[in-house]
Amino acid sequence: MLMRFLALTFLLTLPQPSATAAAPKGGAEKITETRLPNGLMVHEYRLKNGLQLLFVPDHTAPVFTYQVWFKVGSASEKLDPRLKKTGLAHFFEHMMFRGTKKVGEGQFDAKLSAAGSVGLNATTWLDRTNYFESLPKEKLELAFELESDRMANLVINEKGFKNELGAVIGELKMRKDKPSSVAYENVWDLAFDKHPYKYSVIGTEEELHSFTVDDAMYFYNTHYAPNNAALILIGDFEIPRALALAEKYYGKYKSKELPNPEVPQEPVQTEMRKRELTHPLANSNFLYWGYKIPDGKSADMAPLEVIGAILSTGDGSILERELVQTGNASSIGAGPNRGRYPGLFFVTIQMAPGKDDKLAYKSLEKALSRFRNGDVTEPEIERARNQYLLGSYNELLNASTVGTNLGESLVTTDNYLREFQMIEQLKKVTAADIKRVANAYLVEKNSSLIRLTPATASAKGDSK
Amino acid sequence: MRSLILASLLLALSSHAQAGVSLTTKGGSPNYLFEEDSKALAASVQLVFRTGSMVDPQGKEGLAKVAFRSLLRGTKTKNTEEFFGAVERMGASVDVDIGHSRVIVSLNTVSENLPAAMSLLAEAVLEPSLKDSDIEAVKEEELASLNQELSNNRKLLRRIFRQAIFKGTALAFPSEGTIEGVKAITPDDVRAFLKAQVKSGSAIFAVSANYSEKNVRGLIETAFAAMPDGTPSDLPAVSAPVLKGRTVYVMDRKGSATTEVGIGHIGIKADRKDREVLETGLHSFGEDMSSRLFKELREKKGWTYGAYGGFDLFERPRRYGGGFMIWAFPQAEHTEALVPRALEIYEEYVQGGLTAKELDFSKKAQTNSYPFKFATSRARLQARLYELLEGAPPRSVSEYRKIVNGVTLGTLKKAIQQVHDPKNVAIVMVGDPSRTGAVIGKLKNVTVVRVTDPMTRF
Repeated sequence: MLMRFLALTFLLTLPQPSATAAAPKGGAEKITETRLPNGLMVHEYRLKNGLQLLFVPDHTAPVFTYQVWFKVGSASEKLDPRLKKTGLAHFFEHMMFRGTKKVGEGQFDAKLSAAGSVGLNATTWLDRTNYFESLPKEKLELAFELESDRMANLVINEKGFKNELGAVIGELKMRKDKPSSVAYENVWDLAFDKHPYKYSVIGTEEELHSFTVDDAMYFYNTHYAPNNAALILIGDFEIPRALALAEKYYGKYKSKELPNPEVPQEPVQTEMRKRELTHPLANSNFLYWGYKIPDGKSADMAPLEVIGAILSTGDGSILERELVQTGNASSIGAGPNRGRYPGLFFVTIQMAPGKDDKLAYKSLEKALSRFRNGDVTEPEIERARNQYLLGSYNELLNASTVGTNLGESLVTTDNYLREFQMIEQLKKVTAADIKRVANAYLVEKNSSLIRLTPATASAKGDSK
Repeated sequence: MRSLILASLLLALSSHAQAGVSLTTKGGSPNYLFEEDSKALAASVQLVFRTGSMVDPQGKEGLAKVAFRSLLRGTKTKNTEEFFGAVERMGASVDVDIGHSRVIVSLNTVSENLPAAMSLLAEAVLEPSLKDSDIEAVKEEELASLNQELSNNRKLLRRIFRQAIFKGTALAFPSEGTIEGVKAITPDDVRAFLKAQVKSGSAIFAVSANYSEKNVRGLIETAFAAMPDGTPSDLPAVSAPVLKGRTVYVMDRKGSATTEVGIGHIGIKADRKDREVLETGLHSFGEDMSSRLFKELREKKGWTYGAYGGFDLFERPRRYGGGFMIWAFPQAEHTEALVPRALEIYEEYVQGGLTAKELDFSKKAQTNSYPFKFATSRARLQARLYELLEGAPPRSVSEYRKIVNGVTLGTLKKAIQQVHDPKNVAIVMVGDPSRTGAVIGKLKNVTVVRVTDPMTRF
C-alpha cells in the first residue's frame, strides 16, 4: 500500500510493513514507500542479510548522495565487555579509509576523488557512525563496489594504525584548544554517572594510545555487519538498478549476531551539579547547562524543540535579544540532543570578554520560570515553530541533509521519518505542553552546569 | 501561515507596479538572477550591493558591517523586536553578509510567505529606523565579537595572514574591521554610509524560489520601487605589495595544544586565463585527501589532523585578486618538523609541477566533480552570482572539461611558476611560543615579526 500524501498538510504517515510488504525478489524485500514533504519518495527495502535500504530517487541533477549508517557509536564500545573504553569507534572510522584486501593503502580516497566525489567524509557520534559521499550518476556502481568492500574486507596494518593515531590525537588536541568543546564534553561527563553518554566520543589520549590492531579488528568484526547498517541513496538513479547493485555487492555478506549488552540505568538526579573549569585560551566565560531529558522517541521532543527555538533560534529569540544583541554574549544556543537513550537539553552561552555572567543566569532563569509558569505567548510559539519549519525546509533542498535526517532519525529512534514527523508534531505544541515539559525537565535539580573561565584572572568576567 | 492573504494581495498588485528598480537579466550587467525550483519549500532572496569593507575609511574599519547590520535593527514603524518578530513569525529570516567588495542582504523564507517577507525586507532596506541607540547596540555586538576573536587561534591566523599579504591596501583587515575602528564609528557615519551605498545602480537581486520568474520580478519591482537611483563611487583599486623574501609572523598563545600555520602569498584574479590550469595543479598539491600535503603531513607523518593548500582556503579568486594559502594545524610538538617540510613540499611543487599520474588524477577529479556546481538551484544561483560579481567566465560542463583535459605537464608547470613563489612568502604561526620558537630557530634567512596586537597595523 502506498502512503497517501496529503498535499496541503505534509502529513506523513508511518510505514506499515504488514500492509506493504512485497514478496522477496532477488533478495530484497520491499517494506514500504513514503512521500517526503517536498514530494520525493522514500522507498524502503531490506536485504535478506538485514541491510536496510532507503532509496530516494531525484532526477533533477545527474548526481547522487551515498550514505552508510552503522548503528554503533561511542556508547556501544563502552558497553562492550572486551573494550570498555571510548575513542575506538571514532578512531576506527578513520581506519575505514585506509584500504582493503582489494583496494590498497590510500586508494579508497583516490578512486572516489578521481570519480568526482564531493563531501567524502565520515562522522562518529554517541549512537552511530556514518560514511558518505556524493558522485556523478555514472559512478553509481563504483560507490556500491567501494563502500560494500570496506564493510567486510578492511585491512589494518600496524604502520597505518600508528600514523592514523597521530591524526586522531591531532583532532583531539584541536578540540582541546576550543573552550566550547571542552565545556560541552564536561557537561556530558558531569550529568551522567553510569550511562556511557558520560564519556567523550573521541576518548582520551591515554585510551587512544592503548588501542591495538587486534582491538580494531575485534570492533570491526563485531559491529560492522549488514544487519547493523542502513544504506541511504538519494539522487539520479533507477530503483531496479540500485536494488540489483545492492544485491550484487552487499547480498553476499552474512548477517551477524550482534551484542546485546545491558545498558546501565542512570540514577535519577536529585540536585543541581556544577563544575568550574579554567582554560588557557579562553578570554571570556562559558556557561553550558545540560538538563536531563528522555530519549529521542519521546513525544516531549516537540515541545522541547519549541522551547529551544524560543530561547535561541533567530534574531527574535530570547537569549539572542537579551544577551547577544546587547553585546553581553558572543554566542548562544539551546535545544535537545535527541539520542537513542535519555540525553540532555543544552543551553550554551559564551559571554563577551569582560562581561559579567550573572546576566546570563538571570536571563535564562527568567525565561525558564516563565515557561514553567505557563506564561508563554502564542506569537512566541508561532515564531519558534515557523523558524524550526524554515530550517527543516532548507534541509530538504540538499540531498546530503535529507540523508542525514533519515539516517540520524533511524539510528536514534528506529524510525527514519522521525525528523519529518516532527514538523507535524510541532504544529500541535501548546503553551500547556511547554509548561508541562519545562516543569518536568528544565528545573534546577535536573541540571548540570559547567562554568569555564579564562585561566588568566584579568580576562575573567566576574563581578565578585 | 498567517500572511497568505497579504501574499495574494501583493501578487495581484505586482503587475501594476511602477519599477523603481528596473530588472535586467541580459546585456552588459544584469541585475536580476533567477532560478526556479519546483520542489523547494523555502525561497531565497539575496539583495547584493557592489560595495563592502573596501570602502571603510581608515580608522573606521568595520563601518560597512556596522552600517548594513543596522538596517536590520528596526524600521520607521517597527522597533527591532517587532521587526524580527514579524519576519520570524512568518517562517522567514533575514541576515547580512559583508565582504570586501559586496554586501548581501539575504532573506530566507518558507515559500508561501515570500511576498510578505519580501515586503518586510524592502521595509528594512528602504525605511530603516537607524536610531542612535540601535546603531550603538550593533557596535556593542560587533565589539563583543571582535574581542572574542582574540581567543580563537584560527581566526587570529587568518587576520594576521590577511595583513601579511595585503599590507597597505583596502584588504588588510577582515570585513569585521578592528576594535578601535568600530569604536570610532558614529551613528552619523552609519547613516551617511548607507545613503551613499544603498543605490539601485549597485543592486543585484538573486532569487531561488518555487515561483515563476515573472511573479518574483513583479514582487521585487513593487517592493523596491522606492530604492534611490544612482550608483555609488567605484571600489578602490588594489595593488597588493609583492612579498620580498620569507617573513615569519608569529603570535604567542601560551598553552595551545596545536599550532595554526599558514604559508602563502597573494593569489589570482577570478578572470585569469589560466585559472583552470592552476586549479588543476592545486587539486593534487593540496585540495584533496589524496593530495601531496595531506598524504605527507597527515597520512604518512601523523603530525596534523589536516593539511591543505589552495586559492579557496583563504580568499577565493575575485575581481581584485585573492590569496594562496597552505594551511595546517599540527599538534604543537610537531610544528618544528611540519613547517620546514611544508615549505619543501611547496618548493618541489613549484620546481617540478605534477607527475603525469598526478595530473591525470587531477583532471579526472576536477572534470567529474564539476557538475556539482549546478546540482541544486541555490548552487546554480551562487555560481552565476560569483561570475557576475567577480568577472569569472562562465563555463559549461563541456567547456570546462575541454579546458581541463587540455592541460599538459608543460603548460601546468609554466603557469605554476608564474604565480607560485616559495621564496617570497608569509609564514604565519599562532601557537605556544615554546613550539613556534623552535621553528624560527630552524628556518634560515627569514625576517621575524612578532605580532602582539593583530587588530592594529604591523
